[in-house]
Amino acid sequence: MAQTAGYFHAAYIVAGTVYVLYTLSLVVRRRRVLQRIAALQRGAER
Amino acid sequence: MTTPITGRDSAPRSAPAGSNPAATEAARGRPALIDGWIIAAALAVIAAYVRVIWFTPAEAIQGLAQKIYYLHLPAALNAYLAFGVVFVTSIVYLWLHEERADLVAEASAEVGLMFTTVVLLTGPIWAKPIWGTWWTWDARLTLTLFLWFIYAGYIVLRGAILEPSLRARYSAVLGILGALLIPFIHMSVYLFRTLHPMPIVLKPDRPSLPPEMLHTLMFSFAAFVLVYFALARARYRLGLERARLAGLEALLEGGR
Amino acid sequence: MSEIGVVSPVLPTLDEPVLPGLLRASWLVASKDLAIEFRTRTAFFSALVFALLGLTIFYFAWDPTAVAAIDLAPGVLWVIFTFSGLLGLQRSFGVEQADRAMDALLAAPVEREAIYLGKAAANFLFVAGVQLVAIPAVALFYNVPLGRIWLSLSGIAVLAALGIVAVGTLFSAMAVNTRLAELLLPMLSLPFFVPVVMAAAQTTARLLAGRPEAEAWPWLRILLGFDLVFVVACAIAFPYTLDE
Repeated sequence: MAQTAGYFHAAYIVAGTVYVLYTLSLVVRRRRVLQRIAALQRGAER
Repeated sequence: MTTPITGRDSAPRSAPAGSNPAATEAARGRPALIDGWIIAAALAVIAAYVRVIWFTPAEAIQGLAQKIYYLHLPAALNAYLAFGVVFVTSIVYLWLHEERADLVAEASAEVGLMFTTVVLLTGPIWAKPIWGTWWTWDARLTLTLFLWFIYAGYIVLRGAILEPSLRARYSAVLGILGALLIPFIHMSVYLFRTLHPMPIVLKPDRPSLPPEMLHTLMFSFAAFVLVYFALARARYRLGLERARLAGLEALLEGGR
Repeated sequence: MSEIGVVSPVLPTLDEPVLPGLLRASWLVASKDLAIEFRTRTAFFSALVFALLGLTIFYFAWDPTAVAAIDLAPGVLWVIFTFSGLLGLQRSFGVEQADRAMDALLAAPVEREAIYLGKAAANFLFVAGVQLVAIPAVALFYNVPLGRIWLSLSGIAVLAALGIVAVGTLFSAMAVNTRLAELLLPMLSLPFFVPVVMAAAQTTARLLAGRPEAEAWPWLRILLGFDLVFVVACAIAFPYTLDE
């Protein structure tokens, strides 16, 4: 069997990194937006 | 029959977002930042991965690299599926002026760009061992490259317009025109390839799939469509919240 | 300059049949744009110089022992065509930015499609004008016998110009309302230009190599189809890009 295992792992690692980073970016951006909304609401209550 | 690959593969290649404890901890008392759909999608992907590694035979000549296909094809399916959604929601927006259609388009475009990037990254990594060269202007991959350009233009366009209704309208126009472009790129590249000698490919890329491989492929498709849905939904929700934030900011600006 | 954005007061009235009204209004918009351009001439001249400079740079970047002129010239010709065309398209709606001239144009009772057709027509003449100089320049600089195929080449040039102008005029209208106008126009347009450039360059290469015209026909079919689809689609889409 040809020794192509390295490519296999590289592909899965690269793809996995893209998926995970994107998902994390969604989490981070959502948290930021929610924090700013909360801050605005606190500011408006005063 | 494959020998199970131990060691590197039993360690997670990257921790799925659903099991990130920090995010859920920080979110206690607030809406959970990781929702059930993302966790479900992550589990489905892990299941698919397990199936690919341990329960699917490897192709004798191509070796393990052939299994990249179970990653590459579903990503491609999603890339085009996402664009189909952008196309349809663009028409819906121009026709009904429904803001939510625009937000769905925005979400689908960003997730679609991500999937397209995965296709363009895994394609060459697959091509090198299988075809012997990193990039061959293969018709499908070239079309996907153009899809990537259209997505990128769409997202840059959105970033360059602050006013929501103008942004929605322009994005919708681009979404529709981009979809019209795809068949022309396909025809042009196909004609180009049939008239030009291309690097000789070591192996055709469509061997008839034995049932086990086909089932694994179907399973992967299902898992990654779930990923598309989960991420697009999360991105849509982010869009809603950003709109809400913008509305609040405008309100407070007006009040002063 | 006070000439910018002035619309002629002679406009189609309501009791005229629609199509002549549309054409007449388009002609008025086109002639307004061409009048502005003719008076200042800077954009056309710049695009022309840019094209000639580009041809020169490509010449010096080329290794004549590796690639024959007859193989290189079609590619160079049509790539330069694309980028000099973009220069012209940039200013297409840029001229309306001064003195809020776009509002005056929109206030006039012209169908929105007429604005698009007029602008596209003016851009077409602009691009064709640059080509009139660039094509002979390629023949001269690269020593290729373009004159032999001048009739077919003219036909290709017309179809190609039509294609890039149809899409470029629309995207110019959009880009001008954004924060990244100069970056967005090429970024959005170039993917759409690719089928046009491909068809034009491949056809030119084949004709120049003396191959039978029948071989060029599939490419011309794509080019024709592209022009048809995108002139109509962009004319329909144009009103959606207006800020009113």
